[in-house]
Amino acid sequence: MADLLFLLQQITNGLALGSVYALLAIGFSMIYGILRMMNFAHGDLYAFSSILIAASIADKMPIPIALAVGILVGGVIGVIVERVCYRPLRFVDRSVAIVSSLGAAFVLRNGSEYFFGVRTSPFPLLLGQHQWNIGGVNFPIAGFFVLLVALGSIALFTLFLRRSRLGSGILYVAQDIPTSSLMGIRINRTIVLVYALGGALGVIGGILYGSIYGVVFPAMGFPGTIKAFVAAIIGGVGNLTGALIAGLFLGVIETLVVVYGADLFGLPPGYRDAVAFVILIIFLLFRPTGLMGTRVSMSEVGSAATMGYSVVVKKTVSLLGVISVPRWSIWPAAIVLAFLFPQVVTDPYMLRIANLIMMYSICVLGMNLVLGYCGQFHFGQAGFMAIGAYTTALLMLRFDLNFIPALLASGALAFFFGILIGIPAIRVRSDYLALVTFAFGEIVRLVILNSDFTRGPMGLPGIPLPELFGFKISSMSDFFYFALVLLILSYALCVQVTRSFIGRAWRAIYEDETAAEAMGINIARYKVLAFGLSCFLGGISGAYMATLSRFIAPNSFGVDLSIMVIIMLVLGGMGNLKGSIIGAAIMIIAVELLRPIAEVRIAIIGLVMILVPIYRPHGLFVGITGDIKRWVGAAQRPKKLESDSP
Amino acid sequence: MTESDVIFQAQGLTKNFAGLIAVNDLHVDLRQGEILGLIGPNGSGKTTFFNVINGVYEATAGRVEHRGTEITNWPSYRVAGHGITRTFQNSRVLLNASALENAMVGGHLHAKTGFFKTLFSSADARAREAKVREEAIANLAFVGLADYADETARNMPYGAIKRLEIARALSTRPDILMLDEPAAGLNPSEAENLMSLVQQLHEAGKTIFIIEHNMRVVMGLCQRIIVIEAGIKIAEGEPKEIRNDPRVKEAYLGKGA
Repeated sequence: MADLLFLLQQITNGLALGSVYALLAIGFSMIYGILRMMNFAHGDLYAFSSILIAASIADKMPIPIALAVGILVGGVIGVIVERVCYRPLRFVDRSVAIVSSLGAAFVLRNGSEYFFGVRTSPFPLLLGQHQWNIGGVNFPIAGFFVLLVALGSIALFTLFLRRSRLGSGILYVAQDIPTSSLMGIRINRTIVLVYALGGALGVIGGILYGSIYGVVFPAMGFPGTIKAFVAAIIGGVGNLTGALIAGLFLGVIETLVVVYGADLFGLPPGYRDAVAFVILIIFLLFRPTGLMGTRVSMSEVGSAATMGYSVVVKKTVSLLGVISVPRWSIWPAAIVLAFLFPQVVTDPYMLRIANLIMMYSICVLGMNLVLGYCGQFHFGQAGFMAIGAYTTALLMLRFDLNFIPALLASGALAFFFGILIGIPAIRVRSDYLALVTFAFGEIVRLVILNSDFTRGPMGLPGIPLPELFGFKISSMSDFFYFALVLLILSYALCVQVTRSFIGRAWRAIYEDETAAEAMGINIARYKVLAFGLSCFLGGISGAYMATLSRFIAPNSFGVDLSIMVIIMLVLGGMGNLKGSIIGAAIMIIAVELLRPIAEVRIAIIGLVMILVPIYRPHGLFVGITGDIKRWVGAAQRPKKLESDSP
Repeated sequence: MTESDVIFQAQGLTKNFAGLIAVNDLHVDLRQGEILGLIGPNGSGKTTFFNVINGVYEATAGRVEHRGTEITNWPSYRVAGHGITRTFQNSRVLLNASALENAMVGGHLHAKTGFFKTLFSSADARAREAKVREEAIANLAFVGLADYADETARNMPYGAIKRLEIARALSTRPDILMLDEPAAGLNPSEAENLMSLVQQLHEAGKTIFIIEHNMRVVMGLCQRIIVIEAGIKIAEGEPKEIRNDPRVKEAYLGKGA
């Protein structure tokens, strides 16, 4: 009996947590369902507004006013995010829009850290701390209240959608944007409304979170987004009842796994966030239409998806115009100059930056293969750097292995796991894939964080210096040459592969999977190969990182790192190998230059992420000469017109 | 022509979309070197039939055989690998690639070689690549796009894109070429040019299976024609038999015509 009551208590707790997820998921699912756009800023919006409320209450603002202001601010931020980051990209490549939305998340996250501090803010326990004692087990009343408030908000919202003109406008737009527009529905206004309502519902979720746990903090944002996304997918995209049920389901499962997992399997509570990811991966693989969706045969979903997809989102990123055969006169010169670099620049700080640039370049090159060429969103590159770094470090520390075999083992292991995460790519559509790969990266990090073999959060210090054929690499300039050789080899690998039939197959898959397959291309195999090679390079880059910094810890391999690699790729231009190096260089140098204003650094990077996709979707410097000509031309044109006119 | 010329057979092919029978118990024989036309009103299941053969959809029932091998429900890439290549009604070329690159994508199966051979540019890999390039150029020239080789497909006129798709299909070295309304969306003179291209392909010995809307064009081009309506074959025969078939008239012009 006590066991049963305990289970009920945990389910109540889970439902309370699930209510927060449900509120987040409904806003997310609605935006995703209408625009097919993942709002990565959703969680940070909820975090920002909740912290704003906490701060206002701490400043003696009456609680009801603070709550109202917070919800309003959430709505307004939703509108701004839509206007600035999404509207210009509505019909553009979706992977580019993902970058822009991550940019918005960065700006919000940095904003809340800047204004309210990094630490947790206390939140009043608005629903009290009363508990019902039933058979010796305490049931917090707040948990029931939370569920009631969530269900109430959702019921009101559903009523609004069904019964009001504005609400039914949203439902029509979700069905078919062009037709709704013809029927006189104002599309932009409706979409703005969706973002505003989605934001407001999210903030209600934030208030409930604060009311049960008593704290809110900036870092709650991104996990919020992920949970909302997972619940939206499990519930079936655009299906609000589904999102509600999935949110509650997720909260309960997560709570139960944490409580019973520790008791039964000795699972550390650190795996909490992994629960959602595992559920997600299972769903995407076996039930891609969601909990509530109808079951359709896989091949039909696949073909319908690829067809609809290629019609709706025609890739605008020009992939092929920017690839050029290396001119042999330039490359040897560049390589010679690079080899001379440490002779001229001896400052260890500068050399270290150069080393970091080369290290990231290798990683970005890998990203370029899978995302830039093959068009498969890979969001877990940090996980593969972690696999590479930890494999090398552990083999050298625990097994006294030499560096070269350790490096090869790192690459091989990363390649192997890359192939494993490539397998979902065969079945799963691009944005879902972003989530699967992200989930995998996080699982890698969580495993490292919670394992004794890797010393968990303490990391691995004292990684030995690498020895190459009897030559010990110790100084920064040694590391420079080492990185340069690795980079040249990686670059050569990418050039060889992308210029061959493999690169052609990838680009064909990127543009039109159905057409590619009709030409005899085994799509599954080439997608998996792209992931394998991409992760291989990630692993090599990680192995280098381990020996360069001599200390690695799981926190270095968070989602920020994966995102950074994607930004570098976008900066340099997708499908452009030289761009990968340029992108890494711009990013690393920018991070160094922005060091003096560290507190707003992330926000600036976020802005870059929003602006580059909008204004320079092919990469910062791709086509710059043509643009300069156009600017010059534009400046001269009026004169010409004058002279032409009689 | 004799039975032994038959290189491709679909027997009792049926495709059922959740209750809607798009293709119903269809029998099709294709003979070496002929142009076989598949016609029928809009929505009669022509493209669905192509899609089932090419592995885009799974057949509900029936059997497809090509040169003695059963290829029913093979995935698209294996069907292409077995020598049956199709084009698409709505022209699915790679818009961001050059015409040459598009044609070379068609040569994928012949450029394909081992990963390490590719990585180290082995003689075999280079020879294959060169051969595929050469063939792609020849195929572009054949369809009349020699001057467009370096042009990005996005910038090419629609008529050229239709031809490019045929050049790409030819680069797979197909045994059977399946053309899905190659003249759709073209103006009458462009359409006529395209049909003379199909005629040239026929003279070069290709076996062609073509879906076409325009009766007049089909009559002049095909040796044999199959007419379907609502997924059911209503007539099969030489053009003049089809022209005089009352059921065909009814399907196209309505009852009482």
